Formats: sequence, structure tokens, C-alpha cells
Amino acid sequence: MTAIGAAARPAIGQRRRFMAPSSLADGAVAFAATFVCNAAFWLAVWALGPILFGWHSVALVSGSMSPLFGVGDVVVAEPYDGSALAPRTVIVFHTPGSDRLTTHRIVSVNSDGSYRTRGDANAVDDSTPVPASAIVAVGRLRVPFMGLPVTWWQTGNYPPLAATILILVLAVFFRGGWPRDDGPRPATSRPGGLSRLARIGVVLAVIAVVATHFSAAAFAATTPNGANAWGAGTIFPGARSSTAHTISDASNGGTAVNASDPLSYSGDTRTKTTGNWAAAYSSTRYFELGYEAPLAAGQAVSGASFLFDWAAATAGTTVCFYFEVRKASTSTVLATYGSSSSPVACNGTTTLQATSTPIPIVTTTDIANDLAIRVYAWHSGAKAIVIDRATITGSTAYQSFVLYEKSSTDRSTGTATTTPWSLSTAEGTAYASAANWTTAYNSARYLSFTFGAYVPTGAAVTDVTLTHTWKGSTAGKNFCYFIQVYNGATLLGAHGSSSSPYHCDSTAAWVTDTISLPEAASVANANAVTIKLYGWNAASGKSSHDLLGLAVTYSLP
Amino acid sequence: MSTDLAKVTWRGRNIPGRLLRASAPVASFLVVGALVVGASRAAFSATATDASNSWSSGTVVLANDSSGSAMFTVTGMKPGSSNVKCISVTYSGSLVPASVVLYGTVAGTGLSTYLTTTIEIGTGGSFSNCTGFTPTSTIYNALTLANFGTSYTNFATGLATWSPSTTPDSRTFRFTTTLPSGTGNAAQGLNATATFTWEAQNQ
Repeated sequence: MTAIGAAARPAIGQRRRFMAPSSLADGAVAFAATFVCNAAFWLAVWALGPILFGWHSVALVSGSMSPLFGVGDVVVAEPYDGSALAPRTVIVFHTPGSDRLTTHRIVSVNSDGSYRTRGDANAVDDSTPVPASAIVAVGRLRVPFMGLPVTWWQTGNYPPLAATILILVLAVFFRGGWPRDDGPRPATSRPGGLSRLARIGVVLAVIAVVATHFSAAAFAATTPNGANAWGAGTIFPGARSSTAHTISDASNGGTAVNASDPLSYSGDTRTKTTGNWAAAYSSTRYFELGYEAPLAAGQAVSGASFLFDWAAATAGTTVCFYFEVRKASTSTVLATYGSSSSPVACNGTTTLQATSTPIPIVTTTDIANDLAIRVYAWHSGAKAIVIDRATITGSTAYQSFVLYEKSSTDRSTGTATTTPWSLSTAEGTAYASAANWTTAYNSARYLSFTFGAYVPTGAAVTDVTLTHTWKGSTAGKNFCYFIQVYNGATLLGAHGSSSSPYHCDSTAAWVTDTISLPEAASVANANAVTIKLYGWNAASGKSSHDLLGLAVTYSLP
Repeated sequence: MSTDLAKVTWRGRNIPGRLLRASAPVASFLVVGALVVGASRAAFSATATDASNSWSSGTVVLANDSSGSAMFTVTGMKPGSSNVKCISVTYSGSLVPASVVLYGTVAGTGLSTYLTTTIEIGTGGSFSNCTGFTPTSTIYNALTLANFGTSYTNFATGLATWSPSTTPDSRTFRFTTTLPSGTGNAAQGLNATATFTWEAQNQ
């Protein structure tokens, strides 16, 4: 039996205000129409009803929760009471940083109590953690379809929207069965229930309500670029300078004489004798050493020690000392080792005694590069003491080092006498050749200067420069010189020659030469530079050398 | 028999049809109830599924051309050192418009506080080299890498880059990291690591 056939059936009568099915087919049409009307109504009740109890209904506008949630589903959610939520819970939350609502599932709980969430369909967790304060509601019910009309409307997808409206209209129209041409259309309330129009009105109202409560899109995808790494060089490029403390003087043409710094080396018979001390400790009687700054800054230092080799100058007496470590630039006391009542060491003989006292206060090269040691001593006979060595040793991660004096101040008598190391600074305290030079070059007459080793293994040495401040003995008479650069016995290069001296000057005033030594630009060579200076003097006089410094520019990768 | 039953009438009314129509409200109530309850039970008890799910509602897809290689593996930086790298990011999702933001994580022993970082967005160039890169704007201008790591940690806080309105749509990002020439010795021996993440979300 077809619907067309049903339409041809005779009227039942006009006494009933709403029509009843007159056949099974009629009943089927009525069933379908009524079912659609009622289904829409009940969906609306499911979606809207909980709002009456303060719940939330949100329509999903993206498929990020698919396949279990589809676009157009309405999620009915219970207001969030602040309690702890378990993973798997679907929550409606304010998207951090915006006022959008997102419906996603909790993946895990962060240590700070916030939640890590993810759309079921997303490959990645949401990057933004969701704090409890951003959670609006906890999903409880999924009502399919109710959000679809609004989604269609918003996306301009009008055909299904029109189709849905048409179906609803037809459902209202055919609710009583196939229309007949012999009776009025029912328009009044059905006893005991909402009218069809009222039900459709409810549906439309729900659509309107839902339209204001969207749960935002949240498809997400990420693409990372990881494992980026930057490393700063261990030692930044810079020029570090030291001066020669080893002098071998062959200016007389005979056997070279050791003229090295008396305070720099142990057991070389070159010593420095102080003035006479008091018999008891006095805060105004001391021997202070300032040290050079040849190290690269910013490095950790371990195992720093103060090496002090000394003896009483007079037999039968006892000398004792303790010392302070000071910051040279400010003279601030950094640490004190020993005391007047508990000296670091005492020596009752005239035999040199070597002491090595750890100075753990020196923890960095910055401290080591600005270092002074003040030795307080007292002598039972109120006599002088002899000092053979007063150096600092230590290590960085890349090298061990020895710091030599820049100058010393002897205040053993209570009156200070400062003696710079002759080659350390261009201040007038100079090293004079031991003998007069001849008027012409003589290969047997030279001065030899050797520098310390301060360049760490593995460094990239980019420049080595020698600074030489000197003068001849007699105004009007030339002093000439040239140099050879050695690593030990290996000749690396020469600057000038006997026939073409590096520099001649007749003013007898200080002259400063800056000589680049590219041949020494390696760690091995820069750490073992010996300069052999061959001189000759038209006045047959001596020469003076006030500064002999070696600046090495390097970095450590 | 069924034909007979279908034609049963009483007081001129078709009884089966009447019953059928009368059952509609109850049927719709039961069907909708079952639908909602059943759908809810399934939906709210699941765990987040993996990316192998297919869905018909659209995609958000984002990729870059680094093939898993880091842009920067720099050692021995010294004051004045500067490194420039490019990376191309392509949005190929079906959902447009979308928003692509950039954020990251920064770690290490402290070099990141010294590394001046500039990020430009533009076109041209690729991961292997920046030749042809034409900047359109600077999205992070000469601030430290550490600041990037603390400021831009996720999609909500990330740096806005661009909003693809067609698909696919690519942009190239040029990263410049510099250890300023005035950097002090305190930066010696330090290191820094970083992961840059682009995230796309449909709007």
C-alpha cells in the first residue's frame, strides 16, 4: 500500500479535531512524522534540560574529539567544583590566553596541579597546560546532532540546514498521517502534551541557546626543531702578557751569567736579602710581593700555593713568618695564613727552607691575576732574612702555572722600599747589561731572556708580540740590536741581523719597540719563548732594558 | 494475515496505524535516550586516541624541512660570533584559516642569557641555506635566547607567526644567534640548548 493510495482513501469524518490514521500506511507516515517531532523534542530536552540545573551545554564546532565526538554534538557538562580530576575526563575549559571554550580530554595531571589535555583526534597534547581555574565544566552527556544546524549556518553549509528545516516542517505537517482534502489542518493543542509547534519552538530555542555556547576548535599539530646547541669557547680571545724573569747575560762575550729574578727561582743561588726585622711581630714590618697577571680570566683555579724559600741571614737565630693574601689593586686582605702567635713556619738556621702553603682563597684566575702576598716576619736577632723564592703555583683545568713577582716592597725595617722587577714595567727600573758592549756585532755577546708558560694546551694562538723598552748608554752614540727567537735550542726566527740591526738609537732615551713574532704563534712555541738579543754600542757602553713583555693572543675553543 | 490485521478497524479507525502512531512518542523517547546515554558512555570513558584516527571534519598538519636535524650545533663561540640558520615550515591541513605560533624550551648552563636572538619570518630560503630568504617581519628582535624560553612556552603564550589561509602554505624562519662582542669572561665555557616548536591550530 502506497502513500498515493492512501491519499485516495475516503475521509473518515470531520468530527475529530485531529486526524487519526486510517490505514497502516497512514500510521507509518504518522509514526515517522511524530517520531521526528518527538525525537527533536527529546534531544532538546537532553541538551537543554540540565541548563535548568545550572549545567552547561556546549556545541562542538570541530572534530578534534572525533571519532567519539562529532561536529555538532552538544556536550552537556556539570559545573566544575574544583575537585581533582582523573585522566580520561572530558572537560570544558577556557582556552588559556583567550576566551574561547575548548572541550578536550585530560591526559595527565602536571606536578603543579594543572592538567595536560588533548583532543582525541590530535596527534599531540595541547601545548598549554590547563589550570583548574580555567576549567568550566566536566562533560557528562553527549547529545548528538543538536549543534549541527548552527554549525551549518556558521559555515554557510545551507543545503543540510534547509533539508533539516524542511523535514521538521513536514514532520509537523504530516504528524496526523497523510493529508486529506476533506478536513481542516489540526492547529490546536493535543490534550495532555505540548503542541507540535511548541515542541519545534523548544528545539529552535535549544539551537539558539547552544549557538551561544561553542566549544572551540582545537585541532593542533606541531613541528619541532630540537637539539639546537650552542657552546661558548672555554677561553675567549684575548691578549695575556707576561715578562721575562730568566736572564742569561753574555754581554761580556764570555760565559753567560745568570741574572734572573732572585725571587722567582729556587736553588739558583740568586737570593734577595731584606733589611733588619724586629725581634717580635710588628704590623708595620713586612715583605710584600705583587704578582703579574698572565692568566686568562674567568677560569677556576685549584691547588694554589705560596712557595716561600727562606732562611735567617745570621746563624744562631730564629726567624718566623705568616702571611696575608691580598687583592693587589685594592690591597684588601682576602685571607690570612698563620698568625703572629702561630706562624706558618720558623727557621732557626741559615739553610734555605722551602715552604709551600696552600692558599685556597685563590679560586679563580681573576683572583690570581690581581694578587699580592704580604709576609710578616720577625727575627730573634733582629737581623735580615734571605729569600730565594716567593712565587705562586696553581692549576686551571688546562694547565699548571707559576706566577712571578711584578714588584716587591721591603718594609722589614718599618720603612718601605719598593723594587719593581726590572723587566716588568716601563717605569725606569731597568736591567743593565752586565758588561759593556763592543762597538761592532759579536756573536758571543748577547742577552738571553726566557718567558714563562701560560698558554693552555689546545689553545688557538693568533698573535705573539714582544714589547721591548730600552736605551743605550750614551747620547750621540748608537746602540744597535737585533733579536733571535728560540724555542729552547731551536731557532724560530730572527728580527734584524748583524748587517741590518732591528733598531739603532743614539738618544740614550727610552725607546719602545713592538715586535710581532708570528714564528712563535703556537702553544708549544709561545710557552717556550727565549729571546736572544745581540747588541753593539758605538760608545762601548752598556744597554738598559726596562720592559721585556710577551703578549700572546689566544682563545681556547 | 498481516493484510487483514493491517485493515482492522474499530469505529472507523485503522487500529494498527493508530497504534503505530501512538507508539511514536514512546519510541522516540526511548531511542533518543538510548542514543544519548550510549553515546555518552562511550565518549566519556575513552582515552585520548592516537593520531592514526581518521576524521572527516578536517585536518591540521604542520611540518618543517629540517629532516630532524638541529638548526644550530655551534661550539667555541666567542664574543662577536654570530650564526644564521633558516627553516621552512609548511601548513598543509585542510582547515583554514589556522594560526601558527612558535614557542620553545631553552636549557643549558647559562649561555642562553648571553645569546642575542633574532627571529624573522619571510619567504624563500630553506633549511640547508638561507639564500633567497626575504624577510617580511621580525617576530623576535635581538632579545636573549633565555627570554625566548621563558616567554614563549606553549600555544597560548607563543609568538604569533602567520595564519595560513590557503593550503598548503609555507613560511621560512631565519634565526640569528649572536654572542655580543662585549660579552664578558663569565660566559666562557657555558652552553645552551633549545627546542623550537611550531604549533598550528585551526581558528
